[in-house]
Amino acid sequence: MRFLLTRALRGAGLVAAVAVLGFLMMEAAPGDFLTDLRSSPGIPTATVEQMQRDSSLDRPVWSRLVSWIRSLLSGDLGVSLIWHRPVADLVWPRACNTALLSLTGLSGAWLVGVPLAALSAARSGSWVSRAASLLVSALVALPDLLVALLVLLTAVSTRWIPVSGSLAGAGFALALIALPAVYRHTYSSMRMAMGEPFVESARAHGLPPVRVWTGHILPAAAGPLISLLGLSFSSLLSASLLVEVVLGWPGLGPLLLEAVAARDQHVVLAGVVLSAGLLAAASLLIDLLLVLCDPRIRRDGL
Amino acid sequence: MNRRGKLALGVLSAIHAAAGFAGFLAPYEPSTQHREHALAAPTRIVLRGLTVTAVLPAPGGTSEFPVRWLRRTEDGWHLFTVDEPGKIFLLGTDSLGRDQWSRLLHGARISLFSGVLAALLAGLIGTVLGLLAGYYSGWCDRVVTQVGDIFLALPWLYLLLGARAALPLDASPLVVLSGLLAVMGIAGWPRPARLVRGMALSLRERHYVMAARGFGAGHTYILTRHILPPVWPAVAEFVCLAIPQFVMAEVTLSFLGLGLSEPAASWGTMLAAFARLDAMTGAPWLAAPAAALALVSLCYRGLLSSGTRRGGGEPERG
Amino acid sequence: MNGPGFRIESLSKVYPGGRGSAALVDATLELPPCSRTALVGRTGSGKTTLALCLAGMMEPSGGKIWRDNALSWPGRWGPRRSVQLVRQDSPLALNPAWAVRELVAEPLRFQRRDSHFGIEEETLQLARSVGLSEDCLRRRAEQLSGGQRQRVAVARALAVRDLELLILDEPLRGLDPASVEAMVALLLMIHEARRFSLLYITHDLECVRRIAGRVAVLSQGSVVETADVGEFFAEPRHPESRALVEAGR
Repeated sequence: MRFLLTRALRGAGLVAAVAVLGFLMMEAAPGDFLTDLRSSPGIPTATVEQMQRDSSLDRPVWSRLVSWIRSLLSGDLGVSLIWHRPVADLVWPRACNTALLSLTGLSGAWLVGVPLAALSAARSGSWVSRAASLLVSALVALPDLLVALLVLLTAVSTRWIPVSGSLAGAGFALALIALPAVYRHTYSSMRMAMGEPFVESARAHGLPPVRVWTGHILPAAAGPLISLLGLSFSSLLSASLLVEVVLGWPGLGPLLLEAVAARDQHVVLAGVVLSAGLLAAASLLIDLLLVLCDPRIRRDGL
Repeated sequence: MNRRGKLALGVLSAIHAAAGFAGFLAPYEPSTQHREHALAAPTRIVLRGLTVTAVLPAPGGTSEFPVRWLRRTEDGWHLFTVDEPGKIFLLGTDSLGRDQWSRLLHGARISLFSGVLAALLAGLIGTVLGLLAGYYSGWCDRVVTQVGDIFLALPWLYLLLGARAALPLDASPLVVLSGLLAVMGIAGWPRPARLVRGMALSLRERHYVMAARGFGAGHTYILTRHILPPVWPAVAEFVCLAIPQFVMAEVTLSFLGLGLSEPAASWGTMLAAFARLDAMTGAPWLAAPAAALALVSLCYRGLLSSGTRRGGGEPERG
Repeated sequence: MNGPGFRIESLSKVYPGGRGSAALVDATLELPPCSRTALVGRTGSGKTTLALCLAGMMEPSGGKIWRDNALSWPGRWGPRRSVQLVRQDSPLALNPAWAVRELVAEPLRFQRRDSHFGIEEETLQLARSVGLSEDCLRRRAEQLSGGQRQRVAVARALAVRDLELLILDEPLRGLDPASVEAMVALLLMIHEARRFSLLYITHDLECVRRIAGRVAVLSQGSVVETADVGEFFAEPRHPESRALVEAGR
């Protein structure tokens, strides 16, 4: 239990560090969302000054940093500079959508990847194994953007998948992107587990192959598999951002895009901090799963 | 390097060379609009005897124009052109009538070369910071490592977008380009920095470095004569293998409308033009940059898998 | 004019990492000016650790180091030119990418130059004196054999003109008898001329007989006996010394 607590603290620390660092980097940036307005001849200086006062951009850096941290701790992420609504209201539902998409994509990848990899590991050299590894190699060579565009193309031309705004389409694209990692990690964990001495002895005892698999190999492979997959969650989030934009899923991605284009620093910062938060939450979940799966960790810590 | 690696290197060199000679290999300027030929399919090329000829639709059938080789126009030499009013669109045109083959080549220049430059910049920043952390240690090391770890923990695209938000949007293309390079360099320094830090830490403890200190050598001497010489090749190899990620960063930014803006012909903006509903179904030739990107990505992967002596961890996906 | 004397007093060194065993426990050793002392002991007795601490390459955990009655450690006792350490051949002792010529010239670059000889000349002389051929000068350190690298290390040490203490840790291992003979003669000659203190760490009791004036025995991190060389071989007092002399016969 203490182990989980340390990990939770570590995650919270990461989010806090990202918040502070992000704030400082925004400060260091040349100009802000008012710069374009300032240089535009049609808008009088007085209006710009007023806008600056309204968004309290005229106070010194350290005072704004302190109030930023304070408001963060109470859950208030500031007010959007362009939409004039509390950032939290804008960002929270989007973050939930992104989480939903990530889970869907990951589940899809698992549902296909784990059985496929298990089958390939069990019958290595068969046509299944070779076809699977060919498919995976093709997928991994394609950049995420291209996979998303490919899915979009399929959706548009064949109408098998809804084109925009549906979880199925976006989830399918994300699952394809996440599949190679899941397949590879599962395959190598299985192969490793298959070579363990207790598996040999289980076989020698005459246990039927199915029992050997479900009783010994899968549990042994589960632990390393889960921790390996936890490491790839970061690239999953990046991929989901692309998929959201290309396939029209209302997650953090499209929101962040608009905010960056308009230089709405509050929303951008909140978006980045939330992505760190999602990452930390996912890591904690992974650690929880690990503890549940592997009794040894419960005893000795990781 | 085995055969696969050599093949990959060959293809990559050819692509980069083509990008370098984009002006020569492209019959048109990338921003020239041929309004009457908007969304035109690729021109049919046939062989009439020994002459290569372009066949274009014309009222009442087709009209043919022989291809002219090595002609000089007002914007320099071109490998092949066709006399007006003929056109030669090897890869068709987009909705504004711009020749896609020319845009592909000029876009290669932008996307590939900014990828290379960004990788170099990240390598340079990473080397300096890695040396500070590994050689001087102390609080320098703590700060650099902590900040680097934070950068590495974040999803790369979120980090990239966050850094991009710090950049002004409308400025001259040169300013925007250097700004983009800076953004990518800032997002990408932690990995090479980690590598350099590790090397500097271990090299610093070598007997011959301590002996040099005993002889009276200063930090500059030790850094330039003992530490940097083995560090450079390691960083160079790392940078070369990281180039595809930076190319994808530029393409992604341009695709999202946050890179170089129109009419610049980055592969990203071309892909954005393709990703529109009408284009996807009606003009499949606009997918050419996707094929080119896939080829480049494949080649880099082939290179990576064939020649790694120092095989690091799983590289980030494109 | 003799060089200064050195003394270590109750020197101790415990390696971090909780291995439990201390490399040096309580080592006290006197190195008078212009002396030649041999340090013998079993493998693992702490000889190399002592050499590293004395040469300033490693920080001791406790004790004192004196140079000519002035306390040097605790204080600023890092690697210094006047104390040179030639170790058993290790790939980390010489920059493997450098040519022999640059390696031998490196210490020369940091010293005041006599206008008599150029650096090229002096490098050549040093190389010849330790038995390295001119052809060797062009080769990189990683291309040399172990014995050749040892000679390069000795040449670098001898390139220091104001040498006060020369510590040699098994420097002649891997050399054929003729080369050993030549090196020993060279060491004795240079010692006579430059009058630095010499600490010679070895297993080879023959070398001890030829080179040393005094012998110190290190056992489990402490100096258990020091004696003149003749006395040591005739009547070793400590059981450890007796064992070593017996084994060497």
